[in-house]
This record gives sequence, C-alpha cells and structure tokens, in this order.
Amino acid sequence: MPVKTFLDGCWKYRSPDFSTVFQTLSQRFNLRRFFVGEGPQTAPYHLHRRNVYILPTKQGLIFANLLMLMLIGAINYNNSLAYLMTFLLASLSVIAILHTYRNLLQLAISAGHIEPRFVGETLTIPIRIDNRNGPTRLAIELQFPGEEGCMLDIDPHQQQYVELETVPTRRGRHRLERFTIATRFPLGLFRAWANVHLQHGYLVYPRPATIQQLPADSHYILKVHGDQGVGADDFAGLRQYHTGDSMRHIHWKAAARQQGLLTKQFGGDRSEELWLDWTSLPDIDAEQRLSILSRWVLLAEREGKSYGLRLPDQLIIPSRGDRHRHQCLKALAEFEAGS
Amino acid sequence: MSGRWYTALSPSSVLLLLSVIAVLLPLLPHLPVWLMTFCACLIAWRILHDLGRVSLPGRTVRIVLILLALAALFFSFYTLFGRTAGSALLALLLCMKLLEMHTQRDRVVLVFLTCFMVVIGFLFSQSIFTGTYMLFEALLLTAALISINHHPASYLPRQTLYINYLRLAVRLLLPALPLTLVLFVLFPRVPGPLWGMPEDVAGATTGLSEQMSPGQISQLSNNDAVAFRVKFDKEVPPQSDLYWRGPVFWHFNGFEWNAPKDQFRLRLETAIETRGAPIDYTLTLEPHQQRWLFALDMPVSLPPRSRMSAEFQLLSLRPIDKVTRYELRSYPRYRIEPQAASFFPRYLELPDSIAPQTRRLMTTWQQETSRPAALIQRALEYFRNEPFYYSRQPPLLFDDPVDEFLFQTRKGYCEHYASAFTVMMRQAGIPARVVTGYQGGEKNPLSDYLIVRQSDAHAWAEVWIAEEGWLRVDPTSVIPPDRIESSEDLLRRQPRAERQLIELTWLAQSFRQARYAWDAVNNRWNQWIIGFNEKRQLALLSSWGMPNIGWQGMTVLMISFLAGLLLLFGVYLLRRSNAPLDRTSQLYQQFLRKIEKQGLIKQEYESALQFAHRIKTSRADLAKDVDRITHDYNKLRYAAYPPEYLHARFAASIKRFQPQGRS
Repeated sequence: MPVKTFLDGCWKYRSPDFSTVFQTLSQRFNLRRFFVGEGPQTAPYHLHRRNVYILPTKQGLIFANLLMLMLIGAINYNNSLAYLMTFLLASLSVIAILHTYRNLLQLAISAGHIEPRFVGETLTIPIRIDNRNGPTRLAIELQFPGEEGCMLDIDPHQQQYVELETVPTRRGRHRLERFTIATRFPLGLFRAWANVHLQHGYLVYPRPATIQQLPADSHYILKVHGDQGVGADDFAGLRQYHTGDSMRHIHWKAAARQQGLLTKQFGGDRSEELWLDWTSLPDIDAEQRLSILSRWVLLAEREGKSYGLRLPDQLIIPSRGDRHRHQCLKALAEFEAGS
Repeated sequence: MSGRWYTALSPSSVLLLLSVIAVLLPLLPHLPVWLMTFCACLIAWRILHDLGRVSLPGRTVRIVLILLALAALFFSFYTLFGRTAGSALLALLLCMKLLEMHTQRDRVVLVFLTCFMVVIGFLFSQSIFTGTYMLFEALLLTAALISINHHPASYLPRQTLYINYLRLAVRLLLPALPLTLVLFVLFPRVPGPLWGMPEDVAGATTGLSEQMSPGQISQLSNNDAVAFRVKFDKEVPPQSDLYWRGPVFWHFNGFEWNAPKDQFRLRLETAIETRGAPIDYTLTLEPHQQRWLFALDMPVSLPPRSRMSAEFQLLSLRPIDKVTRYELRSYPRYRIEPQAASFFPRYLELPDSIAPQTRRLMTTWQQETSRPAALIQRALEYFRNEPFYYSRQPPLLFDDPVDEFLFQTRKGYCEHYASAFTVMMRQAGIPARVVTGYQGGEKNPLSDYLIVRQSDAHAWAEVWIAEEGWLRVDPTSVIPPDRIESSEDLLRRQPRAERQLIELTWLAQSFRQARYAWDAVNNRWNQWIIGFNEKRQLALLSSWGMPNIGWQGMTVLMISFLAGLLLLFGVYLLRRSNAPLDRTSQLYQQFLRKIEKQGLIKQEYESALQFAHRIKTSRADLAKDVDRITHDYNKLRYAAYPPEYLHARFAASIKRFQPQGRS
C-alpha cells in the first residue's frame, strides 16, 4: 500500500519504507518524550493528546489496593452491595482519568519577557496560560523541577498569568528550563502532566562581589573631546539659550541685565571617566574577577560616574544609565573565560 | 467568629465531616451506644476545632483516648474481630483520625477509610434503602475528594464552591453508573466464601424461636415483616397444602419444647416415598440469623450447603445473615418410610408428673378405642366441640401449661394447640412431635409470587401411625370461625376466594395495593441485586444467548463493553471546545454569521474594528448598523465596567441586523 507523505511542499505517494515507518514509530514511542519532553518549541506551546501524559499517583495506587480489598471482601461475603460499591468506585476513578486528562488538553502556554537578574537573586518568569477554547480548569500546577510550584484555576475563555520563580546559580545566557504543567484534579488519583520546553532565553548577571569600593587606581583616560559642556559638575562657560535647556541652567542674572537668555554650561565628565579593567585584577579566578567587575558596575552607576568596561575580548566605551549598565553586565554575563 | 457555619468552615472540612456522619448513621442501631456517643464527641471536637474554638488534642491525649476506647471495645465484645466488633473498631479509628487530620494526605486517607466503612455497613443491611443511600454516600465522598484536591482562591464565595463540587461529583458519578452496571453483571463471580465468615450475628427477628413455651408469652406479635417469598414454577398449590416446615421440636420438659442438638443425618432417597406430582419452587429467604431453611412439606431436594435433620428439617450449614435464594422440590403427598424403632422413645417421652388430668382423659379414651387414627379423631373433635377459642392474647399459664390450657383457660394460639395435642398423643402412646414453621402465604396480585410473613408463623403436630408413617395434624384448624377472636385471624383462615368477599374500605384496599407494589419492588431487588450470584449470572447470560460462556468469555465481554462505553464518553468529554461562549461572544458570532451571508468573512487576523472598516468600504449601506454593533461589542468586551443597559442594546441590535443582499 502506498504511503501518502508531504514532501517538498506537496503530497506524494510512495511505497512504504519500513525503516521510515520504524523511525516514525520509535519517535512516537520514544521514552525520552515521556520523561523529558520534546525539544524546545516556539511559543505558544500547545497541549494536545500527544504531549500530555497521565499516570496514577501514590494515592491512586493506595486507592487501587483499597478497591482490591473491598472486592475480596465482597467475594468472601458474597455481598452484592459491596460489589456494587467497589465497582462504582472503580468506574469513578476510570472516569476521573478522562477528567484529569482533559483538564490539561488544549491549553496553550507561552512566556513573557524575563528581566535579567544576578546569580542568587530570584528570577521571575511570567508565564501565560491561554484557555481560549476550554472549559474551567481547576487546580493546575506549574513547577520547575526541584522548585516549589504554584497552583491556579483558569476560567473558561480566559488567559491566566503566573509568575514562576527560580533562583539561577550560573551567570550567562540561559535557555528557559523545561518546566512541568500538571494536574491531579478532580480526585487526586491520577496526575496528568506535560513537559513544557519553550524556546525562550534569559540573562543572568554574575553575582556582584561583596566589596564596597571602586578601584582606587582607576585609569583616567584623557579624552580628546572632553569638557563639551555636557557634564554636571564644573562650570565651563555660557552659551546662547536653546529651546529645551533646563530652567535651572539659565543665567538669570545675565537675563536681568538684559543680556538675553544665556545657558550656563558645566563640564567635569573627563575627570570622572572610569575604566573598569579586567587586567587590573590579575591573579584572581576568572569568575571572581567578573563578580568584582559586576559590583564595580553597580557602584559606578550608583555614584553617577561615567564608566567603561574593558574585557579581554570587548571594550565598552564609558557612559552611564540603565542601558549602559545592562550592556556592561550583559558583557560580563556572557564573557567566556577561555577566549 | 463571623459568618455562618458553612462560611467559617472550609468546604473540604464540611464535606468530609458530612460524609463521615452519613456513613456512620446507618451503623447507629448496630454498634454500642457508648461508642456512637464517643464518636459523636470526636466529630464535635473536630468541628469546634475547625471553627477555631478549641485546639486538637496532643499526641499523649490521643494515645490515652484510643487505648481507653480500645479497652472498652474489647470488654464489650471480648474480641476485636468479627462483624460487629470489627466495624466498631473501624468506626473508632475513623473518628480518631479526625483528631489528627492536618495535611491533605490525612484527609485523603480519611476519605479512603470512609469508603471502606460504607462497605462494612453492607454487612448489616442490604435493603433497597441502603442501596439508594449508597449513591448519596458516594456523592458526598466524591465531592469531599474533589474539594480536597482543589485549592480555591479565598475570595471565591463558599456557596458556589459547594454547588460546583457537588455538580462535578454528579458529572463524575453519572457516567460511572453504566460502567458499574457492566461490571456488576459481567464481572466473573467467584462462588462461596474465600475464608470463614464471622460468627457473631445480631439478634433475631422472626416469628419462630429456638424453643417453644406455650403459655409463657401472653401476646403473639402481629409482625408483618416478610419471612420469605416463593415463586412457584407452575401454579400455586392450594392454601391447605401450604405448610412451610421449619424447626421441629421433640423434647418437652413440661413447660418448654425444644430440640436437643443430637440430630441424625437423614438419607433422603430412602426416607420418603412420594406420590403425585412434585412442586418446584424458588424460595427467597429474608435473613433471620438462624440456620433454619423453610420448605413446603415434604422437601426431597437439598439446597446447596445445607443438610436435613432426622426430623426432616432443612438446616443451612451457617446462619442465614443475608437474603438467600434456593430452589426446591417438594411433594405435598408423601409417605415417610417407617424408621428404626430405636428412634421412637424420644417421640413418646414425657416428664412423669405433668398433666395428670389429661392423662386421665386419655386413659378413658383409650378404653373406648385403641386405634391411633380414632384417638386422633377423638382429640380433634374434643377441640372442636368443647369451647376452645383462638386468641392472640391468651391468659398466661403457670403450673401445668397443658392441663391449665385444656381444662381451664381454653384460649390460645397455634402453639398451645400443637403442644397440648402432642402431649395428648404421647400419653396415648402415639409417637408425636411439634413442627413449627409458616402456614399459607398471600399472593402478590401485582406479580407472580407468594409472600409469607412473620405473622403467618404457625405450629402444628406430627404423629406416627404404623403403615402410614408420619402424618401432619393441625389441631388449630378445627377451631370453628365463631370462636376466633380477631377478624384478622379469621381472614387469614379463610380461603382466598372467600377472603375477597369480606371487603375492606377503599383506603385499606389502596394501602394493601401499595404494600403489594412495594413488596414486588423488594422482591425484584432481592432477586436481581442481592441474590445475584454466579448461578444467576450464568442463567442471565444464557438467556441472552451465551449459554456456555466461561469466565474468559465473560471477561472479554466485560472489557469490550467497558472499552466501548469509555470510548463514547471519552469522545464526548474530550471533543474540542467544551465550554459555551459567553453571551456577548455568542451574539457577535450571530452577527458574523449574518454578515457572512453577504460574502463578508472575518479573517482570523482582523480585529472587530478592522473588519467593520472593511465592511464599510464595500457596503456603505450597512455602515451605521455595523458601526454601532462593533462599538458596543468592543465596549462590552474591553470596558472595565460596561453599563448594564449595553447588554440589552447589543442583543437588540444584533437581532435587528438583517442585511439585505445587494441586487
């Protein structure tokens, strides 16, 4: 019998190739899918019959034993109502399998933007569960392996946002870990679960060292274009007022003297330009260096200094502000010691 | 403490406590009062704790409590096993568990224990009521289990939670019912007990007892409870043949008749010589906690696990503690073979000193005739002609029951007559014994079986005449109707045809009718639920055209039925999109269907506004309606607090929207 396959953009018939059939089957029944889940998928991750699994829980097994006990009792006493009760409970748990399974089906899961954090800080991962077509979902658990999960209910046609928390232990760019969405509802006798692996990344900055000082021997590099009047500290001169200049920098005395609006200019950025240098920390372990540099970035930012970062493979010219800080920390996070 | 009790307690606590109480209630009459009081106290303690009034006992208090209770249990039963003691123990553990219920796991364990307790309750009763009540218990337990597995947000109103849990429990239980039925009918039944049954049984309620002491009880209870039901294979024999043989007594000590336990085993084939046509019937016996089985005089077959005593009494090997069905064959005409003469002394024996007056009377009769048949006739005529009365409340007899009854009080019921007659026969040298059992039975006009009630309990005598064998003599039956005290008894003694002439009021009639209907339902229940065993299972399957289906075939059939039902239900449950859309979306879908007929189809990527814009570019005539609908839709969908009137306006404009095709 020819097999209909979708090849090169159109349907083609070809004779069955048993190795392909075998491949498909072994893919379908791969135990890896069961234990680990499939590879990372682009969001949203849809839950359907092939990626939701279900097995009895410990309570379910205890319940099965209880049913066996009741059945033996019913046989021994030839008690019809005991038979009926045993069979009713057994049927109930079988029906519960379907309900538990359905509680996960047709959900779509995606993750939102994950704010970078330092190693050791709590990272919040915003997860969206979309129940656009489904009935009410009760007691859905979300959990990273080894972490405490959270439990939520989702109303029909609603999307629910949850924030999963995890504490990263390594710096760098991470893939969003595989996490499980599971449910034991309604009877707790069975647990349906799916391993959700989203193609989603996040950044973890190196843990800032505990030192509290900026490098004492900071390199001050003479800037050719220094003192352009964009600093904030030293008075550098006056210029004509431009629309948008701060009111506080207007030379009001000159205005009173009818000299027109003049804007005071300040310099001083040159003197505060700070280079955070990898090579200034010799004889220390690479991670330790990154940790110190990370703290320096924070301190420099807090003190309002203009700072640059010099790594063996990268140079970030001095600046300041959130974006700059992120850029520096990102460079530190992604730094590869070997290079 | 604010709020009502059901808001103060968590739903899972309430449902759990309710199911525990519901399961313990039916056991109330069977367990000791102190235990049930203790259990009630433990439950109350738990409720007070959940309300925040008291704290749960510590470990030491719990251990002391359970040890005390166990000791008390042991001293009231002298065992912790068996039916009553075992269920008392389980009830105790169940309620003690309430005091150490902290985690979710504890709650689940409690639910499981309660499920088991439900089954224990069936050892005491298997009535229709119990069966229906089981569904209620299952509903509560399921709802409790659901509530344990749900962790609701605290802002949700409690009342809605209860309703939702119970509704979900119903939705779980309803599809489980057909599966249960399939399992019940097709699960291969294993016959017989796997090990011994507990011997302890509750007190008997029956019209018969293990001994008979005429004159000691001054009032015969008029108990209408059903003793057994009989379905005859062919027509019902006449009332005069309906003597249901029960315990036979042959030992008399002057006050009390009994049957010492040295009964011989009888070989049926040689003992009875049968005449005429046999009667085949099935008897469904209500539990009476004794080993007696009843049979129409004279049974020639043995039900399974039973034997026959030397007095032709059927005895089950173990007490009848639940409804039991058995098939029998009897011959109303029979002759019992003369037996070994060594048996006879026991049927002649009497204490020397009793009934001297009767002995004198018998001596005078014996002088007139020595033929046993004539003596029997003489005795019966004596009862008929002298002023003997049938009474349910006869005077008590003290010193010599037989003489006092025969010569002074002359009022009594069947036991008095049977006892006096047997004593008279023995004094005349004729072997005689007392047979107790039931006489008669009423046919259920709504069905095809006979009901025999406890009030049909009867006693008669059997005498042995050479050549004839044992003969049944019912001395009570010779009392003429005008000497029967109550009309009830008079009615009972009339043949059926006459009985209907003495008509009752319409109220009594309809009551009687309702009672027959209820009895018919009970009979069905006994036949199809309680008495459903491996034999009936095979009979049912062979009536469905599968005569030789073994357990393998049954298993295959059962699994295919189950799989089919589950498949149907699975397809129903797992089909896409189960939840109905909300009202606004439904209306908007209506709008989309209407506009679709105009050839305008909303694309997936389009928002409502974009779609409206597209409509307007091609159909300017619809612009006004579409604008209004889209505006309202967006407002209902996205506004934080859409005004109430908007729902109605939106629905109205959708309804009014009737785009005409452009010609």
